[in-house]
Amino acid sequence: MSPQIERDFPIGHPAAVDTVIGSPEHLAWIEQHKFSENVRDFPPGHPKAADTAGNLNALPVRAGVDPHNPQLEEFTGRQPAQAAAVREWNKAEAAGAHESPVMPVIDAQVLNAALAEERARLHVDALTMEQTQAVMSKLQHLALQLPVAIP
Amino acid sequence: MPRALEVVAGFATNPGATFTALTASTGTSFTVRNTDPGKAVWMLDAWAFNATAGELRIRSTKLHDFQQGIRNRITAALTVPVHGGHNNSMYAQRLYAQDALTVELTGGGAEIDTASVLILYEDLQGASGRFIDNAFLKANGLNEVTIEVTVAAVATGNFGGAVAINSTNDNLIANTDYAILGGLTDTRGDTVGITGIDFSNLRLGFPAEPTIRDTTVNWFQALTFGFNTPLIPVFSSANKAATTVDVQTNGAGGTYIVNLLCVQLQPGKVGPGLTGAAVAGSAQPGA
Repeated sequence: MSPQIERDFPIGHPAAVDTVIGSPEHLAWIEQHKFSENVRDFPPGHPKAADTAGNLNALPVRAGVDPHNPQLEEFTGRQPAQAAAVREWNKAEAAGAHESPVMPVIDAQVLNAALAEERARLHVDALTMEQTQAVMSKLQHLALQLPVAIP
Repeated sequence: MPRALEVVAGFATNPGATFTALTASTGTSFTVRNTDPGKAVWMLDAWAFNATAGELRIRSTKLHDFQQGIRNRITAALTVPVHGGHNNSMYAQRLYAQDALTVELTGGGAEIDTASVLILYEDLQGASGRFIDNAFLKANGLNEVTIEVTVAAVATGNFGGAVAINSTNDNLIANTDYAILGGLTDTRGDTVGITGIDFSNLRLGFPAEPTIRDTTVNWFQALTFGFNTPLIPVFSSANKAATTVDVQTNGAGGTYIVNLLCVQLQPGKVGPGLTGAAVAGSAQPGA
């Protein structure tokens, strides 16, 4: 087993005992370490260096979008064909969707008391929507109307 | 003190560059509800969903001015609050009973653009909700649970697709109070609405924006921080069938998966009114 050689400084480092100032090794070392003297952003060849060919520094990073696969639908990552199919499906769903019913605005304290009474009467933990609506209909006279502006 | 929180929404059809007064979505109105004039009403926040960038303008003769009032640029396809951000101290605009707010949008020339306003009534006779603050939540919270529902929105600018909170998973514990901290949506729209018995059937809401999930996930908790007053709604699982989630959006409609972040509370702790250190009639809510 050959012994490991531990150098004092990297090849080309000005303080290394075998560095010849001005030698190709020394010049290469200088080029590699310019960034540490604020001369350049990153070492040459670094994937983020401004002069590295093919760097992705101008790649926009947008929420929900895989920057390396911008063709995929944002947030879902679906392929375009799949996304188009889902959009069609959603369109059909929306066509069949219903607007939400407007519920009567009745004081929660009053309504909760009436619902608790009904639950106790029926011996159930929770009422169905129909049972709840039946209770609400009895309290319809207490419901607040939509506000009207004073001219 | 019968406190109530309500999100009111509306839409403008093909507004283009012209400021167009919003048509209020069915069941909502931009006229402030009638209250005792001595009890404050606050506009806590507002947001809009424009497919094309535009302007949202809210004005009234009783507010700062009736020319431009509260006017904000709305960037395209980004439903974010324009009156305050999460983790910030927020400032509420005082509103006045029966005042008709003029809420207008500009935007696209061939689309429905939408906006919402979140209003707090310190004392709305005939309606009340159960709200807690963060200290109460931390003292009485037990387990976190999420409610996931799928909502098929309508394409008319109205709220649509209301489904009960137990429509997908019926896993709430019987006769138990739950605090709603906020929620998430996977699809962009204008507003996710939550309506229920415990809120007097008034609709609570948060922006339907998937890119600010860190803001909406604890929306009501953040409002509570921001305004320093109890704004975390509480509902009872006994009312689960009549507590619904719906969505208001533009002409694109869409299917929304909505998650509500809830915390199970200790039994019998939340009374009928609000619980916390609210001060009525102050210069700002929670001041």
